[in-house]
Amino acid sequence: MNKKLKLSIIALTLAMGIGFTMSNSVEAGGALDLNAKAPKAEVKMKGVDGAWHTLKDVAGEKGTLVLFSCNACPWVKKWEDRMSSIGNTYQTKGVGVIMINANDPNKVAEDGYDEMVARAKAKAFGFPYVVDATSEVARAFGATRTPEAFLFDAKGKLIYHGAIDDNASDAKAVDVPYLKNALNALIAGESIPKAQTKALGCSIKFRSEDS
Amino acid sequence: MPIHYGNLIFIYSSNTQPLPIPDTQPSRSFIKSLVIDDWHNLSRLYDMNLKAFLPLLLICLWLPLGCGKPAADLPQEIGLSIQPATAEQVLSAIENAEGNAVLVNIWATWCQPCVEEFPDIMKLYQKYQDRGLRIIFVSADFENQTEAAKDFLKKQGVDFATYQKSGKDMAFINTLDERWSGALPATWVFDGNGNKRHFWEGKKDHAHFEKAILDVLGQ
Repeated sequence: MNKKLKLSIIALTLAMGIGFTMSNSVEAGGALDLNAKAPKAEVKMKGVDGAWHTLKDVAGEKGTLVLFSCNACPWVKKWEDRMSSIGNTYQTKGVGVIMINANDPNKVAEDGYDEMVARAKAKAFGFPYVVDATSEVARAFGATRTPEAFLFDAKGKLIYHGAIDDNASDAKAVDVPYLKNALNALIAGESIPKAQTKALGCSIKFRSEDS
Repeated sequence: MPIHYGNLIFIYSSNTQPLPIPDTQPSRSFIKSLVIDDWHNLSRLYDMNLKAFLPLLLICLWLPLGCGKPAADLPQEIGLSIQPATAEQVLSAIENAEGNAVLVNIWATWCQPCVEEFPDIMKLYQKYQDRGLRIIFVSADFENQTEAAKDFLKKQGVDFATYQKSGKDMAFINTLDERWSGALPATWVFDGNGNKRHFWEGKKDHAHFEKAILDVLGQ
């Protein structure tokens, strides 16, 4: 066996070993890809106004903002005023807005329906705040945490997925308002400056799949 | 009885009950307990005109106190501590953990699933510490919650250095692992060579943790 062949076999063996090691075990949510359409668009979800809402119904002429949120998460509480302001503002600019709570209230009492009603009132949500009663919408989106934003354009394609901005703790110290930038770009018909971002957040307390 | 630590051999001389030889490299706290808790033997050595051993003993005491192989940019402390750390510093701590398996857990006091799985991680640490399991806890608590985090760690029996996430979220998340969405808790198990072997988001039970740890340590 010549030297080059031997080296090739060694290199291939090492590469296989590394590949095996890296793929040994991974468990993480797989969120919607950019350009994907919103799944479960016709699932009816009860809002804090007592009415039933679907993603299809709330879609705006310029786009749709879907916010996965809840009552209990400290990260949500940090961002809540900003989410309320963004939702109320862009709803008047042709973007449909809906906030979805997929948490199981049996696991987190603060996420019960009555508590949601009170929170929406306290924070002056001018958009539907709804219950994902089986967590099926959150699962279909591949949402993993709260808060987590998904922004769709007028054609229903996902153009932004991620965080509200880059500083949960201090609204005054935000360097990049990711979601606002994406919304402004959507309305202006420009490309999204940063289409996917991340932030720490509470994991969604999914209802069991047979609920 | 010789106890290996780094490139040194610590000669432990005692007329009392012999101490067990660990299967793997002993933890720093273990070595510290041997040295500090046994001043009687030290004085006995001195009385036995073994003064020549004193410099060696002092070096052995100095090494586990953090002068042996410190993690880059992070001070090593004995006992419970919680230090701010960027993702790069956490990766450096993993590299310098000197274990056969290194479990990294990102948690927060306000994260109920994190709090619920924490005791299982500590039970497994007690069980497999001697086989080289090392734990790196990184709190994602906000800056004004550091004391609450420390209180929780203390109640859970954590007696080693831990970290608190610092810096921007996205850089922290992606530097640690592109696959991580940012949801808590998040856990990785690295092997002794620093290779990521397991990663998951969300709360898991004792059996899940143990299976991943044993996969890396060997049955």
